[in-house]
Formats: sequence, C-alpha cells, structure tokens
Amino acid sequence: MNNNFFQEILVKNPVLVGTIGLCPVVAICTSLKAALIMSAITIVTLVVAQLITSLLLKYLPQWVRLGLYTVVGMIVVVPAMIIVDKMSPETMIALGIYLPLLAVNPLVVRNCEREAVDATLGQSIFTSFCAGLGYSVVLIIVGLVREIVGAGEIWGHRIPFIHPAEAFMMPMGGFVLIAFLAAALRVYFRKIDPKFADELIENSRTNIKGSNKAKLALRGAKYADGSTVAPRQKRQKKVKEKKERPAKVRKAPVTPEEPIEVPKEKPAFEVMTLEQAEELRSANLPPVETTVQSELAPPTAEDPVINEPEAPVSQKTSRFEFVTLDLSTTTKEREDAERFAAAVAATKEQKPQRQILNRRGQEKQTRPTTEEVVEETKEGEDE
Amino acid sequence: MKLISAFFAAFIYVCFTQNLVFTGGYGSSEAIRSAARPRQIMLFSIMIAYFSTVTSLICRVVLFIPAMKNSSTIVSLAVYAGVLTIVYFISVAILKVLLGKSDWSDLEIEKFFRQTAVSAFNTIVLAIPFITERATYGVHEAIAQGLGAGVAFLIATAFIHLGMRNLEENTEAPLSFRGTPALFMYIAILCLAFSGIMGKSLFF
Repeated sequence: MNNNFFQEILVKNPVLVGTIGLCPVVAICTSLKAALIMSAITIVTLVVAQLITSLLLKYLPQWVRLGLYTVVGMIVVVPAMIIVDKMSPETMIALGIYLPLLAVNPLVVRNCEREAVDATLGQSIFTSFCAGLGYSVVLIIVGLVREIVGAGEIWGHRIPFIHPAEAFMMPMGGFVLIAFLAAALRVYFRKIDPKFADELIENSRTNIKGSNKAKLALRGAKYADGSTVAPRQKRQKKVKEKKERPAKVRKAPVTPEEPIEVPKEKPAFEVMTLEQAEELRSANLPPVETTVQSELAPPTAEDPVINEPEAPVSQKTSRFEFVTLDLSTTTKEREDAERFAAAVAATKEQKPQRQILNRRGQEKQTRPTTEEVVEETKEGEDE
Repeated sequence: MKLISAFFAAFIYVCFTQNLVFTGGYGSSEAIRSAARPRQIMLFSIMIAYFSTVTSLICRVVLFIPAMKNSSTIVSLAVYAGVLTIVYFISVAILKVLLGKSDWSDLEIEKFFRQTAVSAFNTIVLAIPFITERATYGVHEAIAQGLGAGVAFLIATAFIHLGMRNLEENTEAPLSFRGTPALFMYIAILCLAFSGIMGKSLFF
C-alpha cells in the first residue's frame, strides 16, 4: 500500500471507500458516453478548484471558502456545458439537470479542504488528479455495465441477445453495481493485506458514529452479555430454532430388563445406649425396634466373666429382631442385661403396634408389613 | 382551497411518491453520511429544508423576470447557484451574529458552519429550483417542494440509519460485503421499493 498513485486511486477511492459524490454515479451514469463526459468534467473541476484554492482561497476563513467552492465549480461546469451542448446536444438533453449539479460536487469541497489548505501546490494537484481518476474508473465501469444490462447497448449500438432491464437505469442499478465494486475492492485488499481490509470495515464511514458494533461483529469479540453473537441475531436464532424443533416424542416404557431402582428408605431403627433403652422400658413405651450397643470399655484378661459361654443372646419377635450383645464386664451390668432381655421377652407376647420412633424420638405412623397382615388374617381365621 | 391542495399535493409528491434521495439519487452521499451521525439527522434535515425552501422561492420569483422565462440550462445554473451562494452567505452572517452572543466555543461554531455549508451546497438543494422550473410550479408549490425536500431527506436518512443499525450487528454477511457494500445493497432495495411506488416498470 506504499505506492502513492495506487493508494490515491484505490485505497482512497471517493465512491467505494469514501462514499462521496454518489449522486452522479447512481443517477446519470447510465451510458459509457455520459460516464466519460462526467469523468472529464470531474477531473478538470477537481484540478482547477485545487489550483484556485492553493493560490487564493486558503488564505480566507473556512466559512467563506466553503461558500466559494460552488463558484469555482461553476467556473468549470458552465464552459463544459457549452462545449457538450455544441458537440452532442442529445447527450446534454440526456444528462438533464444532473450536469449542472456537478457544480456542487461534495468531492471538490472534501479534496480542497483536505489537501489544498495544508499541502503544497504540486502535491495537492497530484492528489486531486488521482481522486478524479479513481472517481472516473467507477463512473466508467458503472456506465458501461448499466448501458449493457439496462439498455442492451454499447456506445449506442444495440446488442441483439440482451433483454434490457429498465431497473438498472434507475438509481437502484447504480447502487447495486457500486456495492459489488466495493466488495470486489475489499476482496482485493484482503488478498494483499488482510489487516488493512479489516481496518477498512472498522473505520468505514457507513458505521454509526460512536458505535463499535461493526468492530465487534468483525472481530467476533464479546458483546455486553459475553457472547460472540449479537443480541438481535440471538433472538432471531431462538425463534428459528423454536420453529424448527420437532414435536415432542413420548418416552418409551421401561423394559423389564432394565433394573428398577428402589428408593432407599430411612432405617427403621435407632441406635441407642443401654441406659436409654432402660429408660424407654421404664417409661412403659410400646415395643420399638432397638439395638443395644455397649459403650463400655473392651474386656480384659482379668475379667472373670469374659470366658463364660452364654453370650451372645439373640431373640426374635414376629416383627422385630433384637440382638442383645452381652458385653458387660461386671456382674451388675450382666444382671442389667438379663433384666433387659427379660423385658424384651415380655414384649414378645404383646401385639406389635404400628408405630415406631423416628430419629427425633417422635411417634411415626407406618403401614403394616406383609407379615403383620398375614398374622392378623391368621388370627382372624382362628377366631 | 385550490392553492392549499396544490401545496400539499406537491409536498406529498416530493416526500413520499418521488422521494428525491431514493428515486433521483439527489443528496445520497449526504444522506448516508448524516445517517451515520444519528444526533445530527434532525438538524441537517432542517437546514436542508431551510436552504431548499428559500432558494426555491427566490429562484421561482426570479423566473417572473421575462428574460429568465426561456433561458437555457447554463443561465439557469448560473442564476440558481448564485442565489444559493448569496443565501448561504446571508444565513451565515446572521448566524455569526447570533452565535457570537452564545456560549459556544470557536471550535463548535466552526463545526456548525462546516455543517451549514455541507447542507447548503449539495445536489438536493440545487436540484429543487431546476425541478420547479421544469415542472412549471407556482410559488406555493415551490415552497412545498423546498419543505418536502427536507422531509424527504429526513425520511431517507431515517431509513438508512435503521438499515445501518441492523447491518452493523450482522455477522452472517460475507466479510467483503460488510460495511459500505452491504449498505449500498440495502439502499438499492429501498430505491427499488420507491420506484415501485412511482409505478415505474422495473424489469423487461
């Protein structure tokens, strides 16, 4: 991108990059002849305006200078109109009011303000000539294509196999063509220097000022919500997905081969010490599922009871299994254990009730077990 | 009553049916540039409406001069461009006096004058006297044309700005079409729509 000429024509192209001076391109550039006339007038206007500005206008205040560019434009356009009118009156008619409008071409104002005020005379004229050339390239391509597609002609000669599409003679055709030309230029830039091509999109004049959405979209960076997709697109995608989602399919019934998970039940017994069990018994509470656990110290060799063969004792009721481990080391404790075993034996005769204690010591209603139901029915039958 | 109806007919025709930006391409580059600065859209449109109305009115009055009646396009250009330049200088002189008393800084005033110049010297403003002359409009219709140009510009800019907002977020567009090319395509579609409203035959 170091070549100055190349840079002025392509990189700083007024139409495709700068989006300036669009009116003549989209409105009147409908034939090659018109494009050439416009190109010539534009180049001359640019150079003359640059010359006058460099010599005279740059010493004036900006607001005066801006007003005088139209007068400068008129100085070039009026003689050009006279020449065109004499040489080709039909072209003059075809160009209509668009030719005089070249006097207020914003390209002249932009170039003069950028270059003529600050740069040297030679540099500013070179820049203007290149800008005019870049503008002309676009004008000629657009004019040629529109003449072929829109009118089915080349330089006034009919092309037999082309059906003219009138829409291309309207501004719409001009915009479509410059869109494709701008895209082609981007592809070319991307091949030479991808970084520059990205910068071109980021700093495009058509990006809304103060908004960095284009930049974010280009870089695939994160939006405010942290995603790489724009919120609007996200919403559209969701709606699209919703529409495309297939109807709900019912779950297939569980095959018998699959193992059926049984929910785990809370243990229906409570671990308590010997004292607690004694207390429960003394309180005349109904029989409960109880396991007695001794918290006493382990037996020693000196203990005389340790080798006695009676322990342990296991007793079963119809509903609950009570395992009493005789781990007592003294005679008193052994007596206590015996007493407890007797109490348990006494409860054996009583009918088991449908209640147990939960962990908090509260009463809990439970369903009768199968064994219980069977027993009850047996009893009923016996009676 | 006839005058009022003619006034509104001309106004609506310029604004909607024949939107100057989309069907004629007038002031399209200014419309694109001001659409990128949403805060300035209204001010820019008002300025365009002002300059086009005043210029159109004065130019229509000038056409009453017998020597101007059958003048060529070259003479018309000289007169209209001259009128526009004078209107600009007078307006800026008045604004300079008014803004001199305000709290605006020199930089702000300079920026404002630059914008005033861009809104005064563009194709949409200079095209209005030519259209008025060619359509043989009366004074009231010339005023309607001028005001309608401002409103048409505002409508076009608003449409373009809306398109810009949508296109900026678009990550699915091809990389080479992002930015300016996509916007050109969008404007082309709008042009096609407005041409359809005008009843033009578009294809074959």
